[in-house]
Amino acid sequence: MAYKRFFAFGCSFTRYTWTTWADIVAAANPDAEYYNLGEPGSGCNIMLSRIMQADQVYNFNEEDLVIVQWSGINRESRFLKEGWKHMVNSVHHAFAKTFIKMFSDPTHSCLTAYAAMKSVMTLLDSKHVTHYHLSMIPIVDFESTKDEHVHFKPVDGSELDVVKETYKSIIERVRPSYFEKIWNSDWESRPNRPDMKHHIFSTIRKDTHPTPEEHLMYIRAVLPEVEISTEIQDNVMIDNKKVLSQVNLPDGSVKCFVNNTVKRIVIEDVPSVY
Amino acid sequence: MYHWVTWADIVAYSYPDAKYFNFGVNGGGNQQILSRIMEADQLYKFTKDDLIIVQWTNVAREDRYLDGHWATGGNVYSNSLFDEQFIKKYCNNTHFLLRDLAAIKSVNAFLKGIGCTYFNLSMVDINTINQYENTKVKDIEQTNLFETYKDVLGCIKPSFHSTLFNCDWWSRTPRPTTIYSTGVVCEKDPHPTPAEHLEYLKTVLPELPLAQDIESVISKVNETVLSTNNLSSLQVPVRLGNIKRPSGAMLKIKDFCYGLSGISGAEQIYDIH
Repeated sequence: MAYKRFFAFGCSFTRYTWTTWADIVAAANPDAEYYNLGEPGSGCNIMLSRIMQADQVYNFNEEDLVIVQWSGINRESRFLKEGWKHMVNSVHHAFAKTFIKMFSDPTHSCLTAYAAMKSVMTLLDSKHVTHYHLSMIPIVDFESTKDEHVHFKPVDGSELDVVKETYKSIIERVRPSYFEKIWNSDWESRPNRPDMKHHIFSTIRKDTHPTPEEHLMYIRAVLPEVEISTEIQDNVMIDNKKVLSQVNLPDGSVKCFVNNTVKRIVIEDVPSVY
Repeated sequence: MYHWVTWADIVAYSYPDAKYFNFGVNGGGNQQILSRIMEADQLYKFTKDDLIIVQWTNVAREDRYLDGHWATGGNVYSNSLFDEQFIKKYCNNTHFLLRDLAAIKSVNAFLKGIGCTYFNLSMVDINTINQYENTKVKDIEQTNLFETYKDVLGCIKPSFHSTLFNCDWWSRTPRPTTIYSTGVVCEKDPHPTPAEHLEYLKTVLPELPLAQDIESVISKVNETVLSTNNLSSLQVPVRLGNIKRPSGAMLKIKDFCYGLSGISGAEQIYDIH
């Protein structure tokens, strides 16, 4: 089907300084207007808010393709004076440790994240929109993704099992994660990480975000509904070569979205959506 | 959900053939309402034959599921769970609106998709951030959000606060007395009395027929509420006709139903005997 518009929502796995899965899908749908409304650090609650706002503004319909890349379910985003701030993981978060200690609870995370997913799915179902759901890390397993842990409280397995069982039909609609499919459930498993200059300290670190090639591998593995031509695959590999051959800067200058064939409309271009 | 008859009980009384689920919770905010509705559908599978009424509440509430239950202390600006530092650092009215307007839209889109009969009520007008100070939104971001969600907000009936209380909870007398489980006595409980709940329903929801004897039944119940020291527990001697609030024998849906958000709500299913 030739979509008229393609909307992508997610975190830095969706909108990054280099080509992501969303750009690849956009390249595969050249006639569709491409909105990348992802934001690095996003949790599920900001995605719910943004998708609902986007529907108010754009009125999703059967000619649209919407793909949501759900993020760590224990992430939490709050809109403050300076805009959205995110609690990402145990190292990178905008909130004080006391906040996390007092208020972070795995069951809370699951209840709110699954409710958000169900809300989004039912909205898009009711509007006959073609929609798919991807994931960065498993949305049911806290133990395998310790890096994304922000909880100081022990995970109560029996309580979580009830919630997961309750939302089984929703959870099943989310495709397997990058962590499982590409990283084989081990963030250290992928060699040849790109170099990235730290935005404050100017030190160079190995970037764990998927490379353009890894995004391509993921989309081909979990989203066979999207046909990726050989030409697009070749273009992705050109992007990949560039990312791996230089020290990348976190200022958004890397780009080369599928060899410069796609143009993102991003959140900053849409003033009516926060 | 309160320790005396509310609008929900009045509707249930008026439809005796319908099984009655009340998932309300004292102090609960809109985020928790969204979560419970979605969870309730996962558990009970809503159908087009259902009547679903959601009473939205003040946007400046923050619900946290902590240690096995929803901690729902009401408005953050007057809630002991959140200290001044939290409010200063993490509370932003635009955040509350972004969160709650999305929740309200989600639920309305969801219920529309089910094809059931549904209505949206409200405790306070959505643009009243702090009901005690009667603070309305004025910020440009917030005004923009109201414009974005204009059609969604149009589905919500006028609030208790504006319809009955003229935007001042203490504007109506006499008020009932409530003795909370902590021993604190509230001599002028601002929660709507049973009669006020009925008045509200008749004002904002005339399309929903109520039982023929509702006036006389509520009149008696109201008298009891006004003349009693009401205890803030479920075991109050205020019953509406044949609707009995379970005390010792709360219903459970399945073995794992204890203490879990919507699942804990299942403990509050009322049976019509």
